[in-house]
Amino acid sequence: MSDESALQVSPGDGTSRTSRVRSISYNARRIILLCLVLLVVICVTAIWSLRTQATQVDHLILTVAPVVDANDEVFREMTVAQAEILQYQVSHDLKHLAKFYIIKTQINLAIVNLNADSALVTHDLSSAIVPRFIDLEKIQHDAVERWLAFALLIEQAVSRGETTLDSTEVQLFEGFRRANTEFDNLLKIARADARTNARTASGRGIAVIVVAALVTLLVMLLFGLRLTRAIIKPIIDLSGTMKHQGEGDLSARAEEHQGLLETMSMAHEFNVLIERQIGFQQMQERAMKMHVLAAKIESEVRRASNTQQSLEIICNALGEGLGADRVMANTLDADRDLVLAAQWHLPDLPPLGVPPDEVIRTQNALANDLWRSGESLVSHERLAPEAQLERSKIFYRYTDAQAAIAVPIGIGDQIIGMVYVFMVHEPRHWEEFEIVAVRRIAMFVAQTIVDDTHRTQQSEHIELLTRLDRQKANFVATVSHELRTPLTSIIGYLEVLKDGYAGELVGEQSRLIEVIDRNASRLLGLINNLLTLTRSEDVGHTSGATEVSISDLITESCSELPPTVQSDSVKLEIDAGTKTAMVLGDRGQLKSVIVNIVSNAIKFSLPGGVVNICCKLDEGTNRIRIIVEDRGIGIPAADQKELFSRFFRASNATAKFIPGTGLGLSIVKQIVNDHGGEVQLSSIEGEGTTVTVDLPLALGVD
Amino acid sequence: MNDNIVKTRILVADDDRDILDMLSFILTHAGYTVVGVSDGSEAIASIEADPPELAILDVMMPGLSGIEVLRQVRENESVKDLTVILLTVLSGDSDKAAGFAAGANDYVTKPAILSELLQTVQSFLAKKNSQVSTDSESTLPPQ
Repeated sequence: MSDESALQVSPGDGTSRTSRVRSISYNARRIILLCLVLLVVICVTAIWSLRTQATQVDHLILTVAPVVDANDEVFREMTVAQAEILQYQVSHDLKHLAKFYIIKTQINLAIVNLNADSALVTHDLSSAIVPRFIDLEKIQHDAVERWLAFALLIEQAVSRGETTLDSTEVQLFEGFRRANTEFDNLLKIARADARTNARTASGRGIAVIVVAALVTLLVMLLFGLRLTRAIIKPIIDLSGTMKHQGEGDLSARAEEHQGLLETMSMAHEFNVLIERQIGFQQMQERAMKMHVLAAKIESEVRRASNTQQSLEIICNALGEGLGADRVMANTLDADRDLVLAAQWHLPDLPPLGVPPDEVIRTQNALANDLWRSGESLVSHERLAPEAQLERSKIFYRYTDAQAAIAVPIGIGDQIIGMVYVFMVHEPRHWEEFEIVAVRRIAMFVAQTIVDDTHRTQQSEHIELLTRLDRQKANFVATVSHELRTPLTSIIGYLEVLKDGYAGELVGEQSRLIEVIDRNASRLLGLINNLLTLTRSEDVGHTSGATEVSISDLITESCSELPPTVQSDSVKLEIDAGTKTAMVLGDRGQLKSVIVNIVSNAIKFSLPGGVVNICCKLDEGTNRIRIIVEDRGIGIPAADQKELFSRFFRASNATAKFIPGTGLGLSIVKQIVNDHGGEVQLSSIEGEGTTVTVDLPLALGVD
Repeated sequence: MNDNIVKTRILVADDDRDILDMLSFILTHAGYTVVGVSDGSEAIASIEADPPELAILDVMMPGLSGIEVLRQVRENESVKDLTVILLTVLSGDSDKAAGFAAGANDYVTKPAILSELLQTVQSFLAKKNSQVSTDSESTLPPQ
């Protein structure tokens, strides 16, 4: 048992403590052993006690019995002696006297026997009886002596011839007989006493056994209770600790230094479990933190305006979030080498300088290897110099790192960068979730870089297109202006000719001049349209906004239609509406809207056709609607969608060689939109076309 | 003296030879003396050397532009009241506004209807003559 008691619960416990440690089985065994010992003791006691009593009784009975026999023998011999002496007295026969002498000798012998036996008994008798026993023995002895003395007197008297019977002899014998009886009685009493004593003794023995049993029971009870308490208390404590833990008190621990070996061991295991649980929880919390950090970095990077800024955000956030000493982000330069793009480091560390060429080469190779294998480089501590690869040595020299995570940034099969996290002051065991977070961020960086590149390319593209468009518009404007210069001379001289300043026209000349003049006007109209279009595309052309009466504008436009569309065979029906309906805008541009729409209506009308122009006020929406309706050739349904595109011409218009540039409606749409209005067109091929223009009324006008 | 009847002088500046000829033709036909120049520097030199009654300036000319000439005219105390009509292919609202801002008396876009241009010229000169005649009556009206 001592070996068990020396068992240590956990390393590091004090020896004074371990020496007191007892196991439950040890305690149980101790109790059982104690009980066994007690039981053996009780049994032995009981047996010994019973055996002693029996021996005593037997002994007494054995020692008293000879005395009783001896006493009886004395009595018998005395009775025979008396009978012989009395017969001798009567008969004087010597034969009786002889017998008397023989018997007398036997009496003395019996007395001696009695004395001897009595002497043996005296030791065993109870002290209360012994004096009386000795007295009675002596009294009987004396009585026998006295009677024998008197019997001799009788013999002498007979020999002298005296025959008188004396009553003395009877009295003496009676005395003897009484003494003998009393002695016998005493012996019987002694024997009875011995029996009584034996019974008492056995009663005592039983009592001892009962008491011993009771004591054993009590001891067992006490030990049992103590043991139960020793077992139950730690269990209750343990359940209390569990409850505290369950309620979130992480500092609660089971008592593992007190109590029994098994409960201490149980408490220890429980504490180990708790520690592990807490460790796991902390790990989970850290993993969660990394997750949150990655998400935060992503959202910050999303707000960054360019790759450089994104990389700086990532370096700063990773450095602080991971508790690293140094973070570095590299990207490809023009030579497709990985070079330092952004870095973060603890204040006590110097910033990393431009890496030497060998580091760049090493890095390029490492990045490509990692990207191809889809892995990251993770080192928890610096290897011994002899175990380092050549490229690791170069890198260690450059970064002075003890532990590192290196994650490649790539897209497709191309590497575009690297992210490094370093520990410089001490090695570190990187957790899986930390590596995963860095990888996730690297992936995000790749996406960001690609997005950024796309965005840059896109905006460059847009800029280029815008520039080209502006160049084109400028070109068109310049060309238009240039075209107007020769037209100025042409139209001017035509006027001179028509007016006869250069002499009267003769013959067909007048008609020919008229044709030239009409076509010059058509060319001018075309150029003007081009100019209007390029001007309306310019930003900020609405500077010349004035209040324009739509009614006046319609009247004016219809009277100033270009000579090319003026036709006698098409009738214009104009309902110009109220004069007070005003629109805020550029009068010239609005005029060209109406001129264009009306010109189209006339152009595509059949000879003898009618064009309706009317103007309606919608006071609900504060808008004015201009409707131009013709019953001309209409527009094929398939072409209607494209009508407002520049240079688009309906298929039936080109088929019939109706002249036009395809600019009119696009100019109309542009101008109307710029004035906050809407233009709509509905047409059925062969039946006619209706164009409606809605324009917002100028504020403050009824 | 009758041979030397002083006709009203009009300066026309345009870098396009044909336009210059055409304008000269119509104005001469209308009875004015036309001084034609083909660039801005000549125009300003001519105006300052011998101020005309009226000037028709093209805007887009090599060297000094019409607007620039106009500005210098308005800054020159001796000729600042000269009537100037800008005649140009620039038909935009902003161009027109710039012309008037520089101090043009009128702004006509090419190709111009010559009869209308002539009317404008005559009305400006008539207005000016009536003013001058009430002032001094020294200048003779055109034929």
